[in-house]
Amino acid sequence: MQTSNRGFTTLTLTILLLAVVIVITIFTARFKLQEQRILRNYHDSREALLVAESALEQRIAEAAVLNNANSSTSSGTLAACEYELTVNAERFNGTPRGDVDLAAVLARGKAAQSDTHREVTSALVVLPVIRAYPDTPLAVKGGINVSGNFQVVANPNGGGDGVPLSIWTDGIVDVNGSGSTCGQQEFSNGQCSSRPLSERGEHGIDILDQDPDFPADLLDYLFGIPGSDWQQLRDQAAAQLTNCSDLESQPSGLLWVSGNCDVSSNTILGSTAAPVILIVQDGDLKMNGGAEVNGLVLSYTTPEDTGGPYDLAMNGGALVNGAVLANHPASLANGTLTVRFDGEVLANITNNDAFRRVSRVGGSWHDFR
Amino acid sequence: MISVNSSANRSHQRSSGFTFIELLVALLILGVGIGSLVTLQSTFIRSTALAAERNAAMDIAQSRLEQLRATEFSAISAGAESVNSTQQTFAVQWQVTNQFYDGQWFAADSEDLPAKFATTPAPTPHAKAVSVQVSWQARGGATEQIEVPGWFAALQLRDGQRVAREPSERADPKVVYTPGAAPEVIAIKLEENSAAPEYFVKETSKPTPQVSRSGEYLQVSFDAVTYDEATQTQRIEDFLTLNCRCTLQASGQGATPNRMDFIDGELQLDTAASEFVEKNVGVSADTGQPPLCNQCCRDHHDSSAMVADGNLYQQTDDRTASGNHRHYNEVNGSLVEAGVGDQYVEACRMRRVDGYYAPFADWQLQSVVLMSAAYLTQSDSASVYEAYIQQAVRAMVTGEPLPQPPTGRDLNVAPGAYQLIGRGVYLDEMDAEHEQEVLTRLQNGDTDWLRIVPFYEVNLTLLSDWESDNTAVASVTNEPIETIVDPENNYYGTYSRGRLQAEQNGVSAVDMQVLGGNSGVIGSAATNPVDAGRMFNDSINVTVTAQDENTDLFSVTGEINCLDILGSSCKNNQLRNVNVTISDLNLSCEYQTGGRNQTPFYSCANIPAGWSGLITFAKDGFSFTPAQVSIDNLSGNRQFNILMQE
Repeated sequence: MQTSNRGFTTLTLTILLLAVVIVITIFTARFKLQEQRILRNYHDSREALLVAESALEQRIAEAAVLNNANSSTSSGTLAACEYELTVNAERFNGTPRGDVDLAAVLARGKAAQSDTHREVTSALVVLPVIRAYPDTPLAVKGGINVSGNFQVVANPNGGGDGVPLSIWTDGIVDVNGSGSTCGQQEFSNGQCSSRPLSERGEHGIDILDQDPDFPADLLDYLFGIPGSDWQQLRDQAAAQLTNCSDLESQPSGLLWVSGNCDVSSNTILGSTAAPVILIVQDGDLKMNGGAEVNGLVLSYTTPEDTGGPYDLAMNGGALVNGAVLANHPASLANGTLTVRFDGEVLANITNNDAFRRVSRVGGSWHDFR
Repeated sequence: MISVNSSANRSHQRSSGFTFIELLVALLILGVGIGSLVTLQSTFIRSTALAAERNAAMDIAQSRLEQLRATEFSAISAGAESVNSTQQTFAVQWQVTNQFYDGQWFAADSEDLPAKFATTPAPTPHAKAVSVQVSWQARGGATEQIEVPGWFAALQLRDGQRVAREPSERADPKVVYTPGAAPEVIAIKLEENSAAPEYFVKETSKPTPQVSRSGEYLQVSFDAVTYDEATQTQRIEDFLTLNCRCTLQASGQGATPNRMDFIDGELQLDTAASEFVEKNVGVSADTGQPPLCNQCCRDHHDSSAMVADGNLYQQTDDRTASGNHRHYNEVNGSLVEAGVGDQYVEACRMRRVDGYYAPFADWQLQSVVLMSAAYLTQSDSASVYEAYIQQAVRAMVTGEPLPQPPTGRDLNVAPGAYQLIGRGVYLDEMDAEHEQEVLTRLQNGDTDWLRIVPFYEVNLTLLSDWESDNTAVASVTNEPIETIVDPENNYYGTYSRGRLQAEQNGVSAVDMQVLGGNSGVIGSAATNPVDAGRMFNDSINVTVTAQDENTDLFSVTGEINCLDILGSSCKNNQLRNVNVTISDLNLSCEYQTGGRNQTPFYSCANIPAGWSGLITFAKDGFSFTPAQVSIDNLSGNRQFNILMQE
């Protein structure tokens, strides 16, 4: 009887001891588990963040390729982690920089093995390359000498409601040849020279010359970029070229040519739906017989250039549907040239995605809600 | 105490030490228990260590990605390194895959990569996908590895605060308004309070309606300019009126007219008023007529729906069953109604909308006033005329009888040539709401109510028919409307109407008349009985005094025809500022031009009988044939036409 009691005591003691050890272990385990959980969550949270960041960059890259950041939602998987993307775009029309989209891109990443997720947001701004299209089909700084046979088809509302405007310059417009400016209807009817707005001997209201308010900086006027920062504009070009031998294979968009540009005969550049902006920097621009440009042509001399003066020559039936601008005096001496203000082409230059650029908004990245 | 001790000793003896078995069992239990707990603990420790290492590895991967993020896009490339952290050595490796977007993402090494990206040299990728692998030797010898993704967009462009920073203001072209000069152009102030600092001015210019004729077809165009003195802005309404020959069709799609309407507190073009509807249409019946005739023939028809809507081309109650106004053909000088398939004559009014002419409701002439050019160049009488127009438009709107035309327009002249001017006021039909707004403003005493009234004050000199009842005393020109240039047959692109040629003592009544609707604006015969029935006329008395005390007075006058260097008719500014001088300080000559369609003329009046001398013509850049006219012992009115060539 006594022996069995002793055994019972031993067992009790043992179990007690064991219980103490178990309790300690449980406490340790709870502590360790907590630590594990923290580490795990920390890990997952960072995994989710990296996935969200990657997804965000992917979406930004996509926006940069598409030149738009329209509102959208999408989802996908990156390195076995799921993500969701939401783009919320807001359009601000008629700002001093044109029609601007401001888009918030939100990426939500999820860890591979838990429900942990993180969100990061970054803002994009989609700015038109050109802040507003020019008001006149022909704008030249320094005056124009037109002795050839030319036709300039006016912007019907360039100077106000119903006030046609065809040539704008701070210099003198000297119409010597058989050139004329006319309205859109007259041009369509083939009556540009018989029913002109202005012609030799008749300076109509549509020619605004010797204008002291002519923009000193055409780059700023068109693109909102000061002339001294012209590289900024060049960097936005869809193609940077050194000559114009292969223009036709270029995409619609901003084409930047450094040096002389000789647009060969019968080259048709751009279309109404997909026009071009052709900027010839520090070089002669020559359009040959039958060459046609749908869009905006700018002959631009950079402030630091010393190689000028450059020619702007348009020969033998060259046609520009849109507008021609130059920040240096132009002589439209030979052949026949037609510059027709084309509201549709120019509207596409301001609205088409090819003429919009996505930029990151500095300081907009954040990972809080 | 002793008993207690003895009892304790007894007990101690009984239980001195555990039995071996007890100990063994206890140890076994404890051993199993503690053993498994130790194992558990060590598992905990190991896995905590592993988790810590994984976190350290994640730190390293993240840091690597941050470094790549700070690297220029073009320089992002694969690499490897070894990093020591938390007493461990981690091997870091990162691979870079170029990515191209074309509707979806393609890795540069993908088999599906579109050909346009597979060029040599390789194009700049749109993005780079980076995979960072961090591996290390865990406790127990196993190799552990984590792999995290990273993407980098090629987009380096920052907005450079362009969003927040406003660019310099864009200098848009400002077309300065050059007011037309009297007598061709009269500016009507759209403000009755002469002290108002801000007001609008309206005038029709070009400077006179511009006429062009080809065969039987005429096009007359002029601008109505409304100018805001305060903002220096202007609005130009470019109207063109033309006549055409059409063939009536049963039905088709034609446009309803545009009109000026009261929109947003202003008089504006209501472009929504013009839409294509099913109605009678016409087609051009002569390929030789102006291209705009296609539109004119097609659109210039009304329908019952348009009558109900109140947006009509022609205001008349005489309509066909379909609601169309009737169309007529001219047969042997009289108008015969045209049926479907028949030819008819048409006159349309159009207004330029965004560069192209669009159909507009017909002109409706309300009043005409005849006066001399001198009357309008004198500021006193010009303001009398301006006040008359304001009152006349008020009467037209309110439906009251028109005020009496300005007085003092009768002429007393010596022999010579004088330009007379005929001017008309047209008022467009307003819808009920618009008309009510004008009436409300009038009732409220608003002095700028004219701003919202679609009225046009037009120089009709070259479009009216002129007549003198005593041509021996004073004749008035009424040449056919002709704008061709054919010097051999004496055509120089101009014609003359309303030029008074005062000849001898006496009185003559001079009359101008013009048709009411579109036909009147193009100076042609009426195209319908409605126009034919609305004839407006005005007349003045001209008293010619051809004597000064006892001396007879005569004149030397003549037309000046002008050709430019290309052999075309001269333009407005080429016709201006011709110097006509007479070799007698007591006498003077006047030169007058009135727009490019009107034949310029000179007039040396008040020349006493028996005078001899020279009259000389000059303008820079032009030669005159003859360059001078020599008069010897003047004994009557003389006319010499001069040719002026660039």
